[in-house]
Amino acid sequence: MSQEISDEALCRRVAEGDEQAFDELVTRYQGRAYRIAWGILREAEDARDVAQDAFVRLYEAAGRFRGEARFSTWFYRIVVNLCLEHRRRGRWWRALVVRDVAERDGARLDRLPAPAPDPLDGASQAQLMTRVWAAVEGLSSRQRAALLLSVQEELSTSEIAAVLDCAEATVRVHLHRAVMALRRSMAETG
Amino acid sequence: MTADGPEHVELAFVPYLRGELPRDERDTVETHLAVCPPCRRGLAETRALLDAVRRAPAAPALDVGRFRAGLEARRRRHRPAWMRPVPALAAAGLVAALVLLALQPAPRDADDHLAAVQETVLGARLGLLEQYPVVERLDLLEDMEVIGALDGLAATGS
Ligand SMILES: [Zn+2]
Repeated sequence: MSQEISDEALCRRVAEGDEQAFDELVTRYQGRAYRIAWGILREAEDARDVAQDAFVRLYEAAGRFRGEARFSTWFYRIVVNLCLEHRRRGRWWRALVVRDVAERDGARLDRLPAPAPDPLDGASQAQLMTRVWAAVEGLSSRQRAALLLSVQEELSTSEIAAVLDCAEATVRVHLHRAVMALRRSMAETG
Repeated sequence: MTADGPEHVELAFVPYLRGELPRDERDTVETHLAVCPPCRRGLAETRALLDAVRRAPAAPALDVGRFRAGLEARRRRHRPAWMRPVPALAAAGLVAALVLLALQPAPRDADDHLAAVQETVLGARLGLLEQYPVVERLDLLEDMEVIGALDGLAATGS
């Protein structure tokens, strides 16, 4: 299938039951869907499941795509909603697992030699990244979704607002709170 | 809205760094930064953090073959919507949701609520409600209410 056909046109064909168009959209978006889901869920298996679910929903709901937003925005919204739903379902036991991992990592870091004076060496960098990610893990799902869509997927504030189904001002608040939480967390653990 | 008081510009850090602010807001931020060391430090921290998040380790590689096989299996389990009846419990949940929504004072984000209902209808048609209890679908609606309220706060706060 030609690369010239827009995502939006493909989606309209999917609505008519065109399997080839669906296949092409999966090819175009499977990597992104999985990456976004992994960013929010941080579990490869879960991210794969949710991404697959998102495509099932895409197929069933293609007729509801009216072309008012870009296809990518519409589809990311499906992915993110499924992720948020997934986290809500998995909340209580997941919290235990995350704490367990954090404790293990903390214990491992304690056994490492004191950081070398050069702050740019590999070990210190890795340690810093571990702390940043621990802080990101502590964000609410929506804050993390907004942050990752902004920073990693490079969506604009208005696109994120469309994906998260909220006002742009809310996206700014999510991003602001996410950054404040990260700064606080880094200052505390530093 | 935040503890940093009206004169600081922390809320604008991310859009400022992303180059999304209109000219006048950008000027306001820069004028403030010139005279506020805490905000300058805050901006530097924010820039470093966003950069760290950007350079974060990538997701484990996706096995595309396995992904496609799993997707096909999933699609076989989901028969077309018109071939399956909407479960009675789901229908009851949907009616409850519609009643709740009808009782709301006219919200500015009526479309958002409509979208939420559409999601629920979609969920019912897809048979998602067989996997997820109705309560959780209503939880989703409730969450959207909270976010809707947050929109209101943000709008009045800025
Ligand atoms: Zn300031």
